[in-house]
Amino acid sequence: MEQHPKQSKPIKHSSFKIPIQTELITEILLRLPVESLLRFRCVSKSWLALISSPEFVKAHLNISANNKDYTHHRLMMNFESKYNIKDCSLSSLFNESVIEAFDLDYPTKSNGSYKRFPNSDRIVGSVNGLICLAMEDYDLVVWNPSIRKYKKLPDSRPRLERMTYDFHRYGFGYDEFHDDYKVVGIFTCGSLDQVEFKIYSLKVILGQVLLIV
Amino acid sequence: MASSTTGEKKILTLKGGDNEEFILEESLVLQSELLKNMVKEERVSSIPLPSIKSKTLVKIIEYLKKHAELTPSNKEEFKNFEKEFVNVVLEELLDITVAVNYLKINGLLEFCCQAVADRIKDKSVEAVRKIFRIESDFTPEEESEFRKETPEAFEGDLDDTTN
Repeated sequence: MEQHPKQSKPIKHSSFKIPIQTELITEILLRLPVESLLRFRCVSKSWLALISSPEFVKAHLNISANNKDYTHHRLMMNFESKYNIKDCSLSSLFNESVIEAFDLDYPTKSNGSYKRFPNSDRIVGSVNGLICLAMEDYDLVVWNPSIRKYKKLPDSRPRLERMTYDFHRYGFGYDEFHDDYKVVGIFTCGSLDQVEFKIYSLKVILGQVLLIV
Repeated sequence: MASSTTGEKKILTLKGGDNEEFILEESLVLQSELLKNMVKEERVSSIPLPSIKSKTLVKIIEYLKKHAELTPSNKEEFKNFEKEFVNVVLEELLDITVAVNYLKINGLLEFCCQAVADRIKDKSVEAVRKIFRIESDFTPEEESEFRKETPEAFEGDLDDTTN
């Protein structure tokens, strides 16, 4: 209720600091945007270890993904006719009357390494902030836009008897049991006796490179 | 309405680090997990909190009172109060956050941590080291490696102040 300064002694304004515990530092850092975390990795070795730890990465993702205002969510669109990838912020869909979608500036698009068939890139899928793209329909790239890093997956298309495929599909997902990201490919030349499935495990391929934050 | 009259309300004394005493209703401190356990298990009527500055304790008690009065109809008012609550110099905000963490007032802790994060997100590395009193243990070469690796994280108008 009311404050009762019992003694009339002058109050000392000396600082009696409780050291800030690591758990509290973690709670604060978990609420920072990725850009700030990348910068604060060089504050000290212990901050670097904390920010790079898989537990921190997971907890940070969890907080961002559960943000009620969808501040960190984006919507990607693939237009079949043009093979053009656009994206817009998810919160704008709820809050704004006019929504602007922009051409997605994804890796290898701007550096011109794929120009044989411009605009034939596709979104394979997206999970936990990672995006899987198929460049020129086949070459797989896994991209983490928040840290602007990507990795090309090795080309391991099956060599079927007939060299051309009529049909292939990729899927991208997270295998919680093995804590691994996986790409599944189905390849066929049209007849059911020639179907091949491939599963790419990203744990081996990516290491920790893409999962820093 | 609750039947308890003023006379029946249990009173508790909190003693801040400057020996200043704060007398408040016991029901208010139950929002703190730490104090709740002390009150329920040890049946104390006075709790010394030597590590918390009185100035900080005043703020926290103010919050506990406001939070206890929260109803669906004054939600907006409470939100404005929360905004004002963290609108203090960064050092004071950190003192409050550390104390709230110690007292285990969970809802307020998350709010304070987000407020600290919002205040430091555009700060420079040097400013953050000063704020958290951290000595760098990286060599200048190692540090420039980070800058090379993710230049975009070091671009723009970074805030060098600590307040």
